[in-house]
Amino acid sequence: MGFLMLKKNKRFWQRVALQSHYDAVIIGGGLHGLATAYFLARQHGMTNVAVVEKEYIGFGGAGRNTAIVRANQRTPENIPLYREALELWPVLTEELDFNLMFNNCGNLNLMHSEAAMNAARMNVATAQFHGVESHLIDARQCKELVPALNISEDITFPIIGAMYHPPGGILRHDAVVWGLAKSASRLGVHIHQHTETTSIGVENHKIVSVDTNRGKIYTPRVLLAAGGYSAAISYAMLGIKLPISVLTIQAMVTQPLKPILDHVVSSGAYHAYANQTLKGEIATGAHMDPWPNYTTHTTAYYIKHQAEALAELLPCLRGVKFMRHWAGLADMTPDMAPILDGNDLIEGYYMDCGWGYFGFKSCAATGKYMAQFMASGQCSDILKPFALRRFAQHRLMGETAALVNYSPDN
Amino acid sequence: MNRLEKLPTLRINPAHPISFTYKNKTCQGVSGDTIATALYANGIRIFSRSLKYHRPRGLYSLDGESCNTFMEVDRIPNVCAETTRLRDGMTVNAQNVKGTPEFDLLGFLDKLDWAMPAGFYYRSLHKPAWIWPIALKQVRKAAGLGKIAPDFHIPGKYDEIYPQTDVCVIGGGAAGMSAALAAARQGLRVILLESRPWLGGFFDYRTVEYAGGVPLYRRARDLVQQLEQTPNVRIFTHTAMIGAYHHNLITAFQKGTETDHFDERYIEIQAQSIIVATGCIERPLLFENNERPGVIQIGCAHRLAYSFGVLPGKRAVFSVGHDLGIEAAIDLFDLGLEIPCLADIREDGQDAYLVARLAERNIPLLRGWIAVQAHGKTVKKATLSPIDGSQQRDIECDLLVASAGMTPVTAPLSLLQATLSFDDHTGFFLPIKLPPQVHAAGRLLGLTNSLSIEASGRLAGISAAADCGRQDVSKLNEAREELSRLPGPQRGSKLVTAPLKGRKTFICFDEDTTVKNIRQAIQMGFDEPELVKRFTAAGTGPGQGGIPGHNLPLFIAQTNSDGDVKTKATTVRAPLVPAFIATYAASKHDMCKRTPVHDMQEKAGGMMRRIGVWQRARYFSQDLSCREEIENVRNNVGMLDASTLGKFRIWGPDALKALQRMYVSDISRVCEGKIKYSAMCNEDGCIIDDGVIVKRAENDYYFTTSTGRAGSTVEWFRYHTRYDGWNFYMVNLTDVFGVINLAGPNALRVLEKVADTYLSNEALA
Repeated sequence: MGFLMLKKNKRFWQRVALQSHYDAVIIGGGLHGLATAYFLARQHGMTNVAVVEKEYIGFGGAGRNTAIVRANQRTPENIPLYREALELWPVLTEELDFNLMFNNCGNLNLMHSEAAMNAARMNVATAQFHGVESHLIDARQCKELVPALNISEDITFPIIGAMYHPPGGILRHDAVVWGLAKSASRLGVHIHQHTETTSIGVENHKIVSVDTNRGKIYTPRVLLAAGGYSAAISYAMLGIKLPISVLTIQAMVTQPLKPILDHVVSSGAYHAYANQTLKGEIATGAHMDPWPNYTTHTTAYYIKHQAEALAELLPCLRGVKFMRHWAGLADMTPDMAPILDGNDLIEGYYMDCGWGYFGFKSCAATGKYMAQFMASGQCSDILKPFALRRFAQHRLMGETAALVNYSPDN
Repeated sequence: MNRLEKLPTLRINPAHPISFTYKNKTCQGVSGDTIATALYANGIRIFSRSLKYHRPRGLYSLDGESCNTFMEVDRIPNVCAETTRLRDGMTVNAQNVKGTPEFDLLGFLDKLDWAMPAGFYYRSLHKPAWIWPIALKQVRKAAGLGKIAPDFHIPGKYDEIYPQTDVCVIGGGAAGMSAALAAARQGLRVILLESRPWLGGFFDYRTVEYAGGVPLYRRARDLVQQLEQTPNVRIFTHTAMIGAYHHNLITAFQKGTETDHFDERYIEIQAQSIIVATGCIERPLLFENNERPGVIQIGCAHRLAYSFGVLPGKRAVFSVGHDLGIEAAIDLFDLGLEIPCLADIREDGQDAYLVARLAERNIPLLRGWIAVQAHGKTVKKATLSPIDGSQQRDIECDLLVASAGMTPVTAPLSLLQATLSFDDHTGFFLPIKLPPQVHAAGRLLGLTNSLSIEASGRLAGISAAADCGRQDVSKLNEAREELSRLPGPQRGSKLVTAPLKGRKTFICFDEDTTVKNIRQAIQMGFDEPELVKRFTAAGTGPGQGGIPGHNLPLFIAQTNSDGDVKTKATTVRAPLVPAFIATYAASKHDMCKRTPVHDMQEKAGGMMRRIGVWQRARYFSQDLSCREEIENVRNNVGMLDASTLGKFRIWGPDALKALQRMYVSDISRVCEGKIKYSAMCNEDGCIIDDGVIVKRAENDYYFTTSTGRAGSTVEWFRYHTRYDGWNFYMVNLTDVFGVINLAGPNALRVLEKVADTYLSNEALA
């Protein structure tokens, strides 16, 4: 029973007074902020770091996503980052000494037409080229993997096949937040919850300070990792416009069930995905609301749409009840790839935002490289394609085709 | 039949038996029973086993606040037995048990709680790394409640309606009914939603006097009668409100009865004004083993007897925190329940009349006392103690009626974006700011006096009428004055936990979260109620926070040593009552276009498929290979319905210029009466569309696009010529014409027959 023995209920993170000086201030106590703080402290010895969070850690997208991870993106620039992120989960579980509950059950991306299968063929080829396991399967093989799936011809969008990506899966998203916060805090990082950034001080094109509702902090480095609120902060406090639209994205869970769904299933045509959490709930969601807004309100239309889609895709779920429906914000860029940048417009100003609904999958790897960037001032090659200037230079990344039928408009 | 048959408040018909199967045995219930009341009447006390510890769980409340009575009914998992009406021939089974609910092989897990502190899963099972994949399988198996088969098909009919109304009243108790009547009397259309199968709320089962010698239940029935005689009120009973959205959109679902044409029905109501009169549920009393079968809430005991005719036990100890508990004790004593004593958390403040009636019956009232522990697998004994914990007394009993106080059902207000704040006097989260066109009334405001409750309902009804343009200032003032003359909100009990530090005091039943778990979470730094909730899972179960919703924030505020912590409620999410995906999906919606030859193709055996906004025949063969069909086109002739393609006419002086800009080919080379195939590109040079262009006359063209782009082509042309000031007209003819495409070596011969003229390849060139 050794593995069951737990140490005393030690505090995971300390409540500390706000210092007047930090080597780096990270705005946003979400996944990307905490991951960067953790890697700064662990790999670069930079421990005099503050994470300032307006609400509580994991309040935003970090606690609202459905925790799906995969590395079968579309473009050669994106895949390596997601691949590394995927490989990091077991490593992090050990490093953080926190069970992130990684369930690499594999993802099935359903295709409903020959055209979609052809598009998927290209995705699969790109993934395989980058050493990511991904292949096409037909409807019968889909049914073998997911017996609850409706592969009959008698539905709105019959299933032709799927792109199957075995190394993907799901984690417990809260565990990632808490594990990173715990380890960062034990390495000396200060996590300040309920601390709102009110302005960012710049002198001679250099970051000098961050003002918060709890006091002023002098610092030479700031990382903007505020998820859906990043673009607003960047513009209001530094006058830097980011090409980001913020859209509400909704998700929901059913009542808990015994195991019924062993893989993540998603469908572009139905605008729906479903996976079963460790607690047994079927977590499901899909497209964003079709207009930009900053509310996290849900809509009646959405949950009904989701029910209609699931009723066709996984008809046994008609006998299951929806239990909880929530919403979060997705910060969408025109090419659906993030903005990872630093030291460009203002020295000491770093950005890690514009993730849309891909922020969870990528947080570990991005945190690692952003930390390296902030500690050394040198941007590693893997992050270079994501610079803000790509929009000015018309070097957009074409990740919009990552999922058939997906675009910022739907 | 062991039912009380003479009570005037009964909601069952003892003369009409219903048989059902439980554990492969036939049992009898009666018409009006829920599954749970029927099982209880058959002597069943243990309904299920809990999620984590597999502790026995029984009937605790009657409104689905926990998953204690979740069962598998007719193969459907997670059916809430306490809110589901019994039907003839139902097959009921326990779920999440290995064995029977009484003897569960996994019951030993209850002894392992020391190994499963708060956040146990986060902190263990990952070292060494090879353990996790094995543990993962076991965790998945242990988690979840009900089981569903991959090929399961839920039977029944699921319907939906979208009514519009002036005023929507949520809650059919005395306040809700008064509100509905007041609004309807101003000439407005009113919808009244009630989750129970009947109206009446707290009045429905009580026999104490309302006014002028009329008992409460009689008053409730009078109000119902008045409502039923008001034609502009539409009453939906057995209808749970589940969501509230922007612009006063309310969603609910209704359970059908034998006479309805549906099993469940999704209801989406657009209202101008909303009145929330959802009343209260009980706040669970926190003590050791507070969720043992045999521990039940006051309302549950009271209603079991007075609505369902089941005396809930033989000998009951009461531990209560408000006057409804004393009233229930008196009523149940009069039906033959033995009551050794009644412990009241309050030192004083009890209703004098009730105290006198208690004394008449020689039931000792222990002021400032509380139950600290229940004993037995089902309750055999209760330990009572004064609040200071100075002494203890054990009393034998088979029932422990326990309740700390009342909890307002504010969830609908939260969904409607009202601001709630903790109120020290009532101990309630009360609305301090309501959005426009939203009103609150009744017991959820802390009112306990029957006349006050009704008056607040009337005031809300008249205020809602004003929202809808029926301003009546004198009536409004009258209603305000009336309410201000009547007794206001009553002081609520302050106590949070019993004075005994045990390991099994449950704050959340669904997730097996104990008070100790919450303390551990706070120790570990989770001092935010929302974080405690996520870390311990308290309130995230199917009961939707009905059990921990109020106690959790109170307990966190009390336990958090850091002083200045405000008592903060945790977030509420729709659906407030879990609802079937079948109900949400209801009838299948597929709003699509059909081509002119749709019916003909369907008759010919066409497999119709959704293509964009259209339904189109995909193939006519038995299987997807379509060999015969393909060969026939190759060797003979085939016909394709191409009506879904985009069809446009463009004409005017600059029509050609516009076409030249949009197409990759030189359209000026197309001669009158001739046709050309070409493609359109986007700004990056990618082909986005293709089709043919026909020149009808000078600067008058007809062209086609793909099905997918038919909707955006006119805008595309306009967009790309927006700075040119060109003069041309465009019209989308996609829905105007049908198109048939002929292909194959014999296509020409078919065309000849149709055209009734000689056609040669040369002539068409």
